[in-house]
Amino acid sequence: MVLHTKIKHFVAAFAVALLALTNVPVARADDLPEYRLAITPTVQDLEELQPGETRTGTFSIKNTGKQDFNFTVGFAPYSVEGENYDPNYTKTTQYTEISEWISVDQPKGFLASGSETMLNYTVKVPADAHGGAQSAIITVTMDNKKSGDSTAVETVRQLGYLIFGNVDGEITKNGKILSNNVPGFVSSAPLTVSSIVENTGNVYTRAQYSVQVFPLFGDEELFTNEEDPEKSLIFPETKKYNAIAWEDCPSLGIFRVKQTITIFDQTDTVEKLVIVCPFWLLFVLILLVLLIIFWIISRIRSHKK
Amino acid sequence: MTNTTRAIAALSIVAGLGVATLPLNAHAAKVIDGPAPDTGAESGATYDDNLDGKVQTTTDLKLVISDVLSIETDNAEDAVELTSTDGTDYASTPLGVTVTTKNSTGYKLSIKASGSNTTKTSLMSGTDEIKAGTGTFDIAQAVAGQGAALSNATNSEWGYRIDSLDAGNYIGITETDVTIANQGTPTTNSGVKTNVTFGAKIKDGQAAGTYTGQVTFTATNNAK
Repeated sequence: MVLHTKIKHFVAAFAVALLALTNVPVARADDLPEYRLAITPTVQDLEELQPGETRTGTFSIKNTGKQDFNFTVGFAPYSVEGENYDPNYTKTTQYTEISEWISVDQPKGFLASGSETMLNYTVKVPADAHGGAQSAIITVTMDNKKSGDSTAVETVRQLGYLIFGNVDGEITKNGKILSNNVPGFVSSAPLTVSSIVENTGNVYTRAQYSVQVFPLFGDEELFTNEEDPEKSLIFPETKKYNAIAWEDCPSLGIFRVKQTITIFDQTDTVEKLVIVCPFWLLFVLILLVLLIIFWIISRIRSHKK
Repeated sequence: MTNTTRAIAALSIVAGLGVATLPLNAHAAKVIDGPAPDTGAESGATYDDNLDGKVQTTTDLKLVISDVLSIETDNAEDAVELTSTDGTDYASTPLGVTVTTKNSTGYKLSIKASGSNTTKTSLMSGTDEIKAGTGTFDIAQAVAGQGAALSNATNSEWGYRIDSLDAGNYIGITETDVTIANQGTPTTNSGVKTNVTFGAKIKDGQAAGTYTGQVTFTATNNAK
């Protein structure tokens, strides 16, 4: 091949490569929302707190939107409602007093687009604090600009940094396993086991859920989380629903399913045979059995004749 | 062959073909450390023979994905205007509230009435008010039938709705948070958008004015 032709090919290839590299997708300003607030991390478990103790911590708040904004930091009680743990940020109880013990070094501030700042918080546990769980949220709110005369509903956006702990003192650790459900029949994957536990003590704990699935015959585990059981935070004087799903459950089969739940010193185990069969196949099989019975009866009758 | 026998044969074929097409493989591949035995090797197992004379070293790897929670709304302004073509039924364009989280147990998004109105749950113009509707919402229950249509039989009413509610049904805003979105797993980087539409039904004789109110959207991660 003539040299200048080779050079032309090389230049063309280099140009294509350069074009490909410069077209690497990046986050363009057009892709960003007008206003976006982010915090990291988002939850802090203070574990055991002593009366009179002072604890500090920090988290980052970021402006990941296009517009600058001011922010305000506040504190609110955190409790939960119902078995699905819907949050309540207004109800005050003996377990939410920590919302009054928290302070931050920067209660207000300004965040330019793309910037972040660290918020340092301090939790001062009163010397006469009673024993038991405490939970609250540190709220970070994007401040709105002044509204015009045509506005109807102003929208405020805020994030909650969840903070909780157990204050040492007169504490009780009691729990109940209200239900431990393994279904007897499943028509399609996943195979889901569920439960409801209740914390009747005054400190938070983590309930533990262990599931094992075996074939009808044999001890080879088809699914298990026994080495790393699922754990779920349970606040005092609450009930919580939990479900664990075996997503890779086959469409047909009979399995031995075992769920073990532990909360404080209470443990409950349920082991059951579970039939997995699509409804349409079940219908066909039942129809087949009925036809076979009908055939047998008709054969017997014709023999008698 | 009688008709019954033909039916049994046909159903047996259907059942057999159906079972054959079902994904039945549930056996996890079992790996046994060590050489495979000469006899009695376990069916379906893979033997990892380490006796190959090679020198090995191990290196720990670490990858950190930060626990991040973010919230955004798709309105450029900080407020939502309700408009009407007939002076009775008012509605806003849907407001998208997007939450993004890397938390393994997901997040909850809630809404409540806030602001400085003497009655926080009402839209107010001086002392004139549009009261909150009567519809309620419980995210743990089936969505069908939740909320309620706004009424102007006695008072003007306003409320908000999310896409999953029955058409025409609204939820009355409350001073306590109501969970309107709940996910038990991390979201994708683009997050999960919940569309919230505000509406009002105005009674005959409602005083003219600019009625305003405030709602607060709060997102928190679920604690593990």
